[in-house]
Amino acid sequence: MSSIEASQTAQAASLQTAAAEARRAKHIERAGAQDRIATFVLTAIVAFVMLLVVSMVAYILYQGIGMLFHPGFLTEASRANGTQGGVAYQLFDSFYMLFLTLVISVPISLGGAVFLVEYAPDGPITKIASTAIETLSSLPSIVVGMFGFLVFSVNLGWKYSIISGAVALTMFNIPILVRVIQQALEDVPQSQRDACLAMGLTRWEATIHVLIPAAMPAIVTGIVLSAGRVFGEAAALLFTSGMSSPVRLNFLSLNFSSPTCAWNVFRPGESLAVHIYKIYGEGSPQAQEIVWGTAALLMVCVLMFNIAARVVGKMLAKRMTAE
Amino acid sequence: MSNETESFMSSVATSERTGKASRGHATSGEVAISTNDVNVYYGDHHALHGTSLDFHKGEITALIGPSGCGKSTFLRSLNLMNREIRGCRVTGEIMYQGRNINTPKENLYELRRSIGMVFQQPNPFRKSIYENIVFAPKRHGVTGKAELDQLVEESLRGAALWDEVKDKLDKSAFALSGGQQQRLCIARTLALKPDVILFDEPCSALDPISTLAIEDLMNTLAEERAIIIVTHSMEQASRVSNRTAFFYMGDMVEYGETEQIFTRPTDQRLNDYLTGAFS
Amino acid sequence: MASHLPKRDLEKVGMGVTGACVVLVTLVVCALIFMVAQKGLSSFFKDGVDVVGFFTGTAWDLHNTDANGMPFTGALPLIVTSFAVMVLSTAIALPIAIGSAIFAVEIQPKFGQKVFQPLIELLVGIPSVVFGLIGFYVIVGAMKAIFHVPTGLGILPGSLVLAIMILPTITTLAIDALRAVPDSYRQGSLALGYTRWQTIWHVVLRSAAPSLMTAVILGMTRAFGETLAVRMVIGGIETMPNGLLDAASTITTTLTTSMAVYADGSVQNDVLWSLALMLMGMSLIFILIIHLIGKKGGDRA
Repeated sequence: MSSIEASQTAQAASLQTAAAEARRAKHIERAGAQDRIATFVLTAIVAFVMLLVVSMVAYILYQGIGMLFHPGFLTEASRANGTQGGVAYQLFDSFYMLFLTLVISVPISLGGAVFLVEYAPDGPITKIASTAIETLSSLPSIVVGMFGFLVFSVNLGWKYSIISGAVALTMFNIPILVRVIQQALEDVPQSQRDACLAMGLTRWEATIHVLIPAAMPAIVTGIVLSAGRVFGEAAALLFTSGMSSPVRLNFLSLNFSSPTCAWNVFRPGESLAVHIYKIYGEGSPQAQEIVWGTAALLMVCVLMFNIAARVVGKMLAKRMTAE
Repeated sequence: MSNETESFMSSVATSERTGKASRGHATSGEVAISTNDVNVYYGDHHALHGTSLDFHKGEITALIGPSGCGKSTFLRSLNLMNREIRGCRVTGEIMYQGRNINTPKENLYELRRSIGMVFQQPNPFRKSIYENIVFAPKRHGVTGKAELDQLVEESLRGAALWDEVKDKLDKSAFALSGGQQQRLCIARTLALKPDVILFDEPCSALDPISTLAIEDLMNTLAEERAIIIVTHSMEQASRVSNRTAFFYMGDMVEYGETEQIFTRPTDQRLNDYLTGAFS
Repeated sequence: MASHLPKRDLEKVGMGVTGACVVLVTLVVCALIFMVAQKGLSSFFKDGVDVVGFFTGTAWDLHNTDANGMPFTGALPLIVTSFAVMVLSTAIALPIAIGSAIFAVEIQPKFGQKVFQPLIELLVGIPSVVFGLIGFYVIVGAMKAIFHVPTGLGILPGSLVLAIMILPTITTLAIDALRAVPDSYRQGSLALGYTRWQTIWHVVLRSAAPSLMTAVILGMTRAFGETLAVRMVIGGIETMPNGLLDAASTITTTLTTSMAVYADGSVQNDVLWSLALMLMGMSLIFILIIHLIGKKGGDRA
């Protein structure tokens, strides 16, 4: 090969490399631009979502917070089918049903979760039960409400009552709680279990005295968060607790079978969420004020549950590590 | 003889010098627990093949071997802890106090009081030091403040921890150092008055000074008990134990006096292991 | 007290008590499935409602009866509407949810965990009637103003409300899915000179795909079963919708309005249970799909 030929080949080769280099540079530039555009779009999406959430919460509070300080709104019974007066009974019924729901659902969920985690971590029973719990959690709440209506209100003859509502809410709450408690127990180190068992203690003693106390912060957080969900649930209550509270409630009465006794679980009751659903379409300005006031009240409660869950969980965890 | 083996010999010699309290009992101790053809299966996996060993009162026996060789599996069979693992099956005889304990009839809760266990990671409960000790005895029916107080002191003294913690018994066990926590776990086990204690790599999470403290403690504890220790550290085995069993791939390959095992291994695999051909 | 029991008995007590809880829950779920199925099928087997007509008929009117004294039970408009709001709301929520999840995990992880996630979790806690209320006053009003329609009710506002409601469900699950992708994947891709976006697109999203699918399905499950928020903005007219801003009714909203009206055991009541059975069937299908995705993902791994 002559030297001229060689230099020509070299030139061609360098030209080729230059072209390839240019293509690569272009490609890199394109990729870089793509990267910047993507980052921009994603930032915009997140900004939009945050704006949406903040403006929604702000809007509800703006529309309704004034009503919360309106004299009588929190302390008076509703009148004219809810379009006048306050929401005192609805507020009470909401908390009363929540309380009953937790009284029923917490022990059952705790027991269920303990069995699934401590006694049968991967047996066939666990498989069936887990599927059942998963099914329950994915069922529309209206179906749970209809089942509650059929079984408790009709078949057991509880009619529209606080207890029917609480049991329906329990069915709605159990899958959430079981999962939370399961997770909390699974997060306790295996070595704690081993320590108990190796000293001749039962799984039961290990669970009661060591594992549940260790998992307590996570369990409490989970329960309070689920309480927030239960508090705002309405679809499951329409046919179980009903859509109205008695006109007059007596909080001092201890005659638990009296229809006006506030503590009577067999009287009908109406939660705040159901109240909103009942009167949202009423056109009168007064009714609208009540609707937004109720929504703001509901939001404030939910926010409080949210904050309480975090604070209490942190406090318990801190106390445990400090002792 | 290779350098490594030589260094083991010298460490054996060192422990001889420092005086191994239990050494003198080496031949006289009665058999505290023994196994006869013990096999362990995890599902279809045959993790431990027919193992027969005797463990003597007044002695420390070390179980050594590479990871996954079956030594921990074997240890966990002795207090029937393997029953807590789903799909795990143990066959063969485990003789303890004149009976075979590897039967469904055996009361594991009583059994585990007299065969204690100490784990790899110190695992005290999230309770006070006092509560950590009395927790299990209380649930086994020991009541009475005076009795429990005495038990706490005895156990902590037994674990050489009393002087360090006697003024802060109501403080959380989590405030203790790793070595102290491990000694607390030993004290917790002593509170049940066991005559066999199983140690599952008790020092692998500890610093050298804490390790020596635990090793000293084991020597003292062995005076009236049988101690069985699983360890990764050949130095530790040679320092503390009277007898050593070498496990390899689910087989108990060689068993004998520790000095013989470390200086005159007969099995090629043991020799390779000691000389660092694998670990 | 209990500690004086022999340990073996104590363990049996513990196992019995906790096992009873599990059995109770399982039995209740089985009873629920059985009863809904039995009630839902009785309309076809006992009352003689035409199965084919139920799924394909377009006339739904429980109030009036035809010449044979049977109510009009063509549920197709309800089925179509239910699927329409589900698909539309998912289509709206999906890009936003996945986009925010990518941002919160890949681009600003600290901000994502400390600020964005608590905020989005707040959205989960807002009761559905409150969503409905905002939908009724804000979104429906906007529909009227933008599209110059008389009521502003219909499938579109329903889908918008649902999109906001399922947004946190999909987002939080997507965040978990992306977080589960090992960092070594990302570092490997970045080390090869890929940009961050290329890494996300080709590596992270691809390896998280099965979990992302699960997130989407769970969002769809929620959208399909949501009741009151949709009821408040969709209009509640049980006819075949002609457009996205035509008042319509989903399966769930029809149940809300009609359930308490008809006596237990009547043809009308039984047909409503058939709708409930359909809802339950869809839930079971969604669960099945999630399990299939999980299995496939597991096989591949």
